[in-house]
Amino acid sequence: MRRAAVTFLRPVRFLTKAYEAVLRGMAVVAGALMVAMMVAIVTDVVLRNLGTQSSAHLFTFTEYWLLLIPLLGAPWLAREKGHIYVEVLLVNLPPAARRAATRIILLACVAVCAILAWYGADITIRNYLQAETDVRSFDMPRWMLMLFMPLSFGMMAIEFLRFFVRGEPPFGGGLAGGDHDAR
Amino acid sequence: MEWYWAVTLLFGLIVVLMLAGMPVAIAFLAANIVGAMHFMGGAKGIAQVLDNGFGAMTNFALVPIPMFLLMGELFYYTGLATRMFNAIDKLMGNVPGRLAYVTVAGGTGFAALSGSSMGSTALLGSLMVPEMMKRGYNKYLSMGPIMGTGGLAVIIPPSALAVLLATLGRIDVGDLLLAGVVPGVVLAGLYTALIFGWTRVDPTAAPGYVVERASAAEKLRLVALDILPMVAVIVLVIGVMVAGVATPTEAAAVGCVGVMILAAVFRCLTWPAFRKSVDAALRVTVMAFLIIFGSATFSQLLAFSGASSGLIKWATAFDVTPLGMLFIMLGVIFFLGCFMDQLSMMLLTSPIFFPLAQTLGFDLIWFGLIMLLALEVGYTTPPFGLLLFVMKGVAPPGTTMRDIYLAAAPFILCVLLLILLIIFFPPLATWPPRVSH
Repeated sequence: MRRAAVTFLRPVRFLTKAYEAVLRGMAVVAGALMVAMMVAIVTDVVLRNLGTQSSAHLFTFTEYWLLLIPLLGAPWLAREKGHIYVEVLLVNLPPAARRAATRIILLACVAVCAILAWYGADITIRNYLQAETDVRSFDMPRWMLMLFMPLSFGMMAIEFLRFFVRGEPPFGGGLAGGDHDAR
Repeated sequence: MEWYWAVTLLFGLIVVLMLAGMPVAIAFLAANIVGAMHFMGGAKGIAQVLDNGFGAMTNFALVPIPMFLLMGELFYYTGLATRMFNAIDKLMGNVPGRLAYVTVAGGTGFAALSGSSMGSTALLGSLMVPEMMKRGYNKYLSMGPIMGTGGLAVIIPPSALAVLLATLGRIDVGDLLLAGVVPGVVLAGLYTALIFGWTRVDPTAAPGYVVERASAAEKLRLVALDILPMVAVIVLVIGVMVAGVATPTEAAAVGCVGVMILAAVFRCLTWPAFRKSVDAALRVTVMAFLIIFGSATFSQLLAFSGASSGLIKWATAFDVTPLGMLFIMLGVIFFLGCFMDQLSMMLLTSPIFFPLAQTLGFDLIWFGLIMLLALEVGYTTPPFGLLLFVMKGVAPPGTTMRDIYLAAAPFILCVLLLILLIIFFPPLATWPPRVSH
């Protein structure tokens, strides 16, 4: 029996670890994209003022990164309790009512993210089957960008579900995200 | 559905969900799902929400938000901000109420570079309040200027919030940033006058104490080494914009590199400082972008359901002068500010207010600047203004919310005075953008 449990738990543990790595990895990529954006724009400005024309693709990539940064970072931010929320009513509720209200809100968050993940997956598959492209300085297969929507919202749903199961509120001590509050 | 039911459904749902404690971004998305199901043809509507998000996010105009945030965080984490503060502190000499002036002067610099009133309040609060309390400053004079300078952050360029408002209102980003320059300086002047008057009327509010006098040579060194380089970054950002070297959107990235070069020159650009800056900027960027993602469909739903046009027609049907209407709009923002953050307020009101302002024949740059100031006042409106809570978080133990309200009040009055000045003397805001053209 015990051996069976261990055999069962091993892949679960592996999956949990892999999920954590993906969650953090996505945030690292989001941060790297932000820095890359700075470098790309300044390079473009310098080249232009030196009289050289830089690649128009730089501009297109920057626009795509603007979409990828929040999508890659959102599940991590949910884990880190960094999303902004209004706490006025919640903090004034008695503890039992606050716990109940938090759970209801968490379930609603899971539902919203799951719905968007589902429809995001649907659009991605349709975009892939119909070979749709996003036409800017080059033709980008649209599914490659849309893919990040179901991924991000799906992982956010998992994060909110995690808080729900643990009975933990999805917000930290800060009022409005960011670590400014902690300073 | 009649337009007023559409308004009630869309706004009501967001406000209820937000107040119930749902993260703001998710509240917007939830209202979008319900609205899209109802007004955009069921499941197809939800797919539209995601498509709109795609379109709204892949927009180059949003670049300054992460860039200005990164710039502010680099300025903070590399220690350049503290360096500037210490220099201003030493330069001030034995002026009565000097620490309050240091707060306004340093706060203006930091606010300009960070573009975030919350960050600015948190930093100044933890840095200056303990020092002022130690020196026997009255608690109102200790906390008031800090919340006041937070207000400067939103209007003095570079301001991430101004960029966002310009994007939402479809007005020129560079023009709105430039429009904030003169009013920003005027507001800093009003604060200075307030502190001057305050310390004259009640000298016990800021007891004098002897500080070591810096020699003229030392003062010169401080200005040259610790103040001018920081000012140079602000000048660089505005300069490249005005000179046409870079677009306002690109100027933000140039400013970012400017701060990095400065930090490298001062040998404080360390890997931990850089990592922390990127981490902090990423948090706020993701949070803000996700809200924008949700709001893209929200404004479309307002238009689609007839709520926008219905509301505008209804509002303009009253026998109210354009000026009266402006005050009503300001009133709405002040009210919303009681329980909402600036970003949500902006996203909720822009789809209605900008078309309304255009119908009324307002200069949209002028209107945008007034709206920015109103957002800041809303942020400090008792009882729930978010900035007040940030202040409470960093204030010494034993400080009550009432103390914080009283401390903020005179400085809020200064911002209100500035709003009136801009309303009745528009060139204050419209002159710099016009000159740049």
